[in-house]
Amino acid sequence: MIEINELTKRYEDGVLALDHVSYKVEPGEIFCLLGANGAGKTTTINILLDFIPPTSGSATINGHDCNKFPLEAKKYVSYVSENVQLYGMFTARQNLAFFAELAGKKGLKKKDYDNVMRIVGLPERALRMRLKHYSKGMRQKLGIAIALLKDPPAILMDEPTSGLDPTSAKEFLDQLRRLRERGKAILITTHDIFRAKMIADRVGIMKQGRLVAIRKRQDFKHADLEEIYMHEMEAAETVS
Amino acid sequence: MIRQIVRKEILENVLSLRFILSLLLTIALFAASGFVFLSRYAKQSQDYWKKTNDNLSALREQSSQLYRLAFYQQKAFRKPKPLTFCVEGFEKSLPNCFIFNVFTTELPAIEGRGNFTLPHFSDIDWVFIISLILSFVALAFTYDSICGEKEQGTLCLVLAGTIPRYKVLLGKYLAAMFTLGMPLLAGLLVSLVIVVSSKEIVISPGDWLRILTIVFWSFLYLSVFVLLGLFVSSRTAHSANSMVILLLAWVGLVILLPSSGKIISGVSSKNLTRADLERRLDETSRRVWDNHEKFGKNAASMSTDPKSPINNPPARARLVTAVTEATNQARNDHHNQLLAQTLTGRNFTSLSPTVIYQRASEVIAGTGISHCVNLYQQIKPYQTDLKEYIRSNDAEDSNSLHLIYDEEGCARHWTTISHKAVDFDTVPKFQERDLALGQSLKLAIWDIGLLVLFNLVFFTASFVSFLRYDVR
Repeated sequence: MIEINELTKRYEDGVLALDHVSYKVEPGEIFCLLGANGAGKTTTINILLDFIPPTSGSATINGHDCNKFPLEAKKYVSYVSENVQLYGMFTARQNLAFFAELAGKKGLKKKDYDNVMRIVGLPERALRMRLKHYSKGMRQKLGIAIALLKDPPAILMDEPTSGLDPTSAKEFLDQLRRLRERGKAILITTHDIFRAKMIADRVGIMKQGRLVAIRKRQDFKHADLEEIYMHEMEAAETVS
Repeated sequence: MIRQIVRKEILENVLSLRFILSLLLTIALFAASGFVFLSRYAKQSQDYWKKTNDNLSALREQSSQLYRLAFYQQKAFRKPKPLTFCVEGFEKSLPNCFIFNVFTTELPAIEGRGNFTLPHFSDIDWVFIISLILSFVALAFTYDSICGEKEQGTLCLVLAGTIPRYKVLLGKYLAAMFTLGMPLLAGLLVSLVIVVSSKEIVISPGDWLRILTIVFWSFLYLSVFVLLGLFVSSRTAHSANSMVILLLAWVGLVILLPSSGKIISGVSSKNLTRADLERRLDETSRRVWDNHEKFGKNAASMSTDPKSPINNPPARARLVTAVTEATNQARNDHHNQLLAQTLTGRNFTSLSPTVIYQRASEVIAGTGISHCVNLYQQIKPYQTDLKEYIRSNDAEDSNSLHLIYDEEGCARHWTTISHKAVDFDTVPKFQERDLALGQSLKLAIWDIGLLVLFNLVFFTASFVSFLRYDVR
């Protein structure tokens, strides 16, 4: 569903953010990209969303090149950012309606909104609340609700659990599991090794723009993912 | 998809404090402009009709002797235009009186102004409110349109969807124009209701067309500032920076550039005074008088005794006519130089959309400098008509020498022009004619073209800029 092929990005100031990175995220899979700040995780997402062009290589969603046919590619993907920011003066319902209509979902009824609110664990009355009264956790859930309303086969999440309290984070992971069960291909960038271990089917470890390792769930299910991560980082350091 | 963006933007704008404030301010200003106009217009109309009737009464007295009609210094006054509530066009600092007889026209003058210090206050008319206040409101609605959404984090989310960037930009533009249109139309409506309901003023169907044209151009003008706001917003990462840049641009375009016209006019050519004109007229007439021999024997001599042998009326007529033609030419040159000096300043200030909009609106409303020039130009054909009338009546008088030239003493003593009375009803009277809308549009076409050009430039700039905008 999501395919990254020899993707390279060098910024105008010469910084190499991505260095020939390749991987795939299949339907019904959660792929977590782990790495320190500046490792190139968010750059990958920015290329997938056509916010920046790649220097070389390609990124495709459902077979559509994100750089050459961005609008076609973005039909099949939703995006949940690190800090979901919506229109504070609008109610949750107005925000949902706006983004759903932008995604081509017209004629949604109250029950559709109630349904996604229930799925993401927000009370029904929250639909009528202005977003400026929402907590970060609630906004994050509403971000997922927007993604659900669009109902695309792929979802990109950039540090989605950052800043969430433990309860909200747990609810969030439950939500991800349900999305996986519905066959969504989910690419998550995160620092949070603990939660990556809980949710990921595969993890990719990035360092200074390179994908230094990909580990399957069976590799870290009973092991310490942090140890694997540190080990891979040190190995990459030695190689470089 | 554009519809969703437009709806969202309008809702966001309408819910903001800046919208409420601009709506209230605009309505209050337009209402004030309506009341100020009514109080001024009633007095101006009264003055105008009094002076015009006085002039006609005096002209009636002159019709008791034909020759006096030719030498009577008529006064034409600038008619107060009903559309000055749209654009006053600095009329109170422009000449309001045009003095002329059959042979010459004096330079336009200012007459009967009660308090000569009053013109220093700007008038609150539509164009003032729109060009100054609403242009600023346009920037207030757009300065954070793009960079503000980036700061807020919503732009990423919008552009992560399948909407093309140009549609986002177009949606924002249309929404800003629509939001701006609300206070504008509300204000215009309030002003029109005040003006129309007063019954002091009758707005003709032609005037309504002119008002519609000005409203359309007001949107075109505000569109420049909306696009400028979008452009700067799409060139900056922070709304605070965008606001500062736009504030500077607004001061430059709306305040500094229009004010620089006078400086540029002063620098481009010498300021001509009435003394310069007097000197020029003296020199010109002296030059012709010095060559009086070529006009015939005794052309320069004159006796009040019609039978005196030194009199040579035909030679005298040729000489004085030559002097009149030369001094008229000098006066015209002086007038044209004054206009050219003003035009230099005005052309330079065409870099400001505010000046262009103001100028185009003045032409359509028939106010401002174009009003003065139009009135001045109407005097010449009237002089020709009156001269023709005098000539045809004079031809019927066998006592007249039938020499129609600019020397009242000769006309009185020698009867160069008939002394018979004429029927006043048949005497041509000067009446100011308004330019037809088509003619006004023709005069304003370049200014409108420039406004359209401003729109195109800023639209292209904001479009290109937003396509390259780093939304991260």
